[in-house]
Amino acid sequence: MNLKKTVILGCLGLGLSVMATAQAHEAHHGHQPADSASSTAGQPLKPLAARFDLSNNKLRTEWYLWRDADAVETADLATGQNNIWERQGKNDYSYRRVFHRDQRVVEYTPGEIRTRNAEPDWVKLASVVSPELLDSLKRGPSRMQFGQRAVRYSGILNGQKIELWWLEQARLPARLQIIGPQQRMELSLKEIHTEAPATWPRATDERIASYGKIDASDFGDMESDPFVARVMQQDGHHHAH
Amino acid sequence: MQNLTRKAIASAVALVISAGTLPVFAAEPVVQGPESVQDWYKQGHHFIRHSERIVDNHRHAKNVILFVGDGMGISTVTAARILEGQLNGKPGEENRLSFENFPNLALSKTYSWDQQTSDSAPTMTAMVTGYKAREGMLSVNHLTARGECDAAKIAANSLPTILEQAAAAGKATGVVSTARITHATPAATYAHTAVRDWEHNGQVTAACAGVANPVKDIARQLIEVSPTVAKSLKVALGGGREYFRHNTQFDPEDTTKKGLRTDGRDLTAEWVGTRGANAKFVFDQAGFDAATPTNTSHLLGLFERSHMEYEADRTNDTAKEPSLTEMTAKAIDMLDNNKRGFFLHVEAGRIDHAHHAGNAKRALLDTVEFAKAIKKAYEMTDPRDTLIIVTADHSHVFTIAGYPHRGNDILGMSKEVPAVDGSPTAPTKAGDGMPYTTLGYQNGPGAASNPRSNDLSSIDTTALNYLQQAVVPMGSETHAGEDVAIYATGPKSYLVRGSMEQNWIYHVMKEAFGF
Repeated sequence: MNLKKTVILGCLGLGLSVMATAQAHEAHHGHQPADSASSTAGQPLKPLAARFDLSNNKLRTEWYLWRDADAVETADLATGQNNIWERQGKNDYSYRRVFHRDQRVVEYTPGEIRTRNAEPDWVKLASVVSPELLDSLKRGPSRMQFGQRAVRYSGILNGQKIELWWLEQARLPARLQIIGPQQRMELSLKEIHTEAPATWPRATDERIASYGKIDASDFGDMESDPFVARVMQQDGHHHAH
Repeated sequence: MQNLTRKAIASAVALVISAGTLPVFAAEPVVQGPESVQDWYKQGHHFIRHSERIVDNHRHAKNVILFVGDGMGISTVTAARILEGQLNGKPGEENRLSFENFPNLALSKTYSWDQQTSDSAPTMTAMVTGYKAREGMLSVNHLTARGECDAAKIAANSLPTILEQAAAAGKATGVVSTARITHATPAATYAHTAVRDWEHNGQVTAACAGVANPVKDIARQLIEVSPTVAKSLKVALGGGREYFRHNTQFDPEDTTKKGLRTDGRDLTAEWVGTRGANAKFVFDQAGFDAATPTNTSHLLGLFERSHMEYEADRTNDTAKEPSLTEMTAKAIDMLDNNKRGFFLHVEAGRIDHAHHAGNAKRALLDTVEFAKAIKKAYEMTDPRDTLIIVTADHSHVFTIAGYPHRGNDILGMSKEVPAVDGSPTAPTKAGDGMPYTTLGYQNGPGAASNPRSNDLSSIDTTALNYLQQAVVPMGSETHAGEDVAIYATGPKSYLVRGSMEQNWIYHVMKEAFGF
């Protein structure tokens, strides 16, 4: 059984709002090294900002991604949550989960990420689709989208039909569709920029300056805090797939 | 069941041997301890002779050191003892952590006024004030309302701590922790508040909007202690720097990050400005090393924005930071030139955090470092005038399972003594046909991230980042309610005996000081 593929598809099925978290979970399930062989011959990922439409059965949301050499941030308008991964050096990662509706930020230090065995595959975080998933799909024809070549990949994994249009230059999906017995998920790229429009919902320092900060290593001592209890419940659900 | 199987195999082998189909000599056991037969008796005899020579020390203590291993339940002590022994190339079980050689021992009942299984706030309150208290509250009595903001009511319900009483008696005082210095355990020695999480002013402001005179946040309480405590408290070492610095101030180590305070105050500067000409604030190993009793009268060391690194990760830290042993030694150096003596609290705060994450190896390595710090303190003080107490605030749902053989890797899979001498050891299979590790948790992240469907045969369970399996899925592993141990040596340590309420620890220290 390929645990990685199962987890990837399961996480996509939950919606991209959880993707960054779930990808970290996948990495720690699978002990994936930080620099995957599928990172297109080790070339660094180009900085960019992208806006997607995401539908998961009847739920629809706008989903954003910003990436540069050492940071990946996502935002989900439906959940009101941003996730920010930062890389220091080669193997130190920090992670912040910004909950706008609660005005809280949960911070995972590099030590806490190591302790939770949750070090991410950076390429996977920054490309949305894991290189392993890409390798397991059948490559098809190509066409021009967003001013660059998009290649069609398709296949069936764990009973789910997957169709992907993959932007080879940006290393990002132009369109990803997953259809299973009880689920239909679709992610469609709407905009891509080298510099993000200022109006996009990034969790800037100014925006979150007044938010309460929680060190994730304190969760065990904060179970009576309703916010922490809810986040831990949510994490437990994600872990349970 | 295992014993029955073993007996059946042994009987069969005996039958075959008697029938003359096998050599009559028995194979050597694959698993052997290093002891001779005589060693066992000699050790017991030595223990009795040594114990008979111990004389209770009825003198008052000049110094008291209270060591608290946060979450260091008895299973953690046992596993850390074995790990330390194995790290030294021994089977491990026969090893003793430094404090296990202390002459006096008791069990501590850790329930609080309103909790069967407690958190660190009321448990440390019990130890340093003599009173059991409410969940999440620091050094206030159990009449305090949950979330009480009113500073006057907090003052009315405040309980004097052993640190404050030591200061009043002219003793020097100190607090050391690998957690934030504002975290519950160290904070209970100097702060009084209804909510342990009110560590910086923004948290109080958010919770107490509209209250005319709200209680001070914990970081501010450390700086604004009474003049007597301010003079006495010569050393405070730990983490939690961002709780002392304001939100437009960049961090000296993580230079893109800022402080958390919203009141514009830099409490690290206030420490320096209010403690005399030789007061210092340091944030890294170099600053720590440079501070000595001759050039520093009052030392505030905050080595991380939040908690300090786990001992296993400490050498990877950007600015480098001292170990718990180094901090303990520095604190004693800073305090022991006071002719009236000192009170020092030292916490290994991150044993608890690693357990919450379901990561046993980090918890145990922090426990081993804790034992080294205690050894250092014992060596630097005179056991005739210094009472040292070592205990935990609460336990964790951490277990040592199966029937692993002597010397089995404590972080590895459980392997029994082979049923037939000469046979190799092999991982024991559980009812689902899969091997299991000796160490595990009753609940926690490992239940979902490392389910029983994982075949551990292909996983390095001794790796630093390995999360032990657990039964009940929870985002964070929980505390446990069984008793923890109290180890003591020095004046009045004989009062640590039998089954004790946790708050009686305070009374032992008070009696030792003669207050």
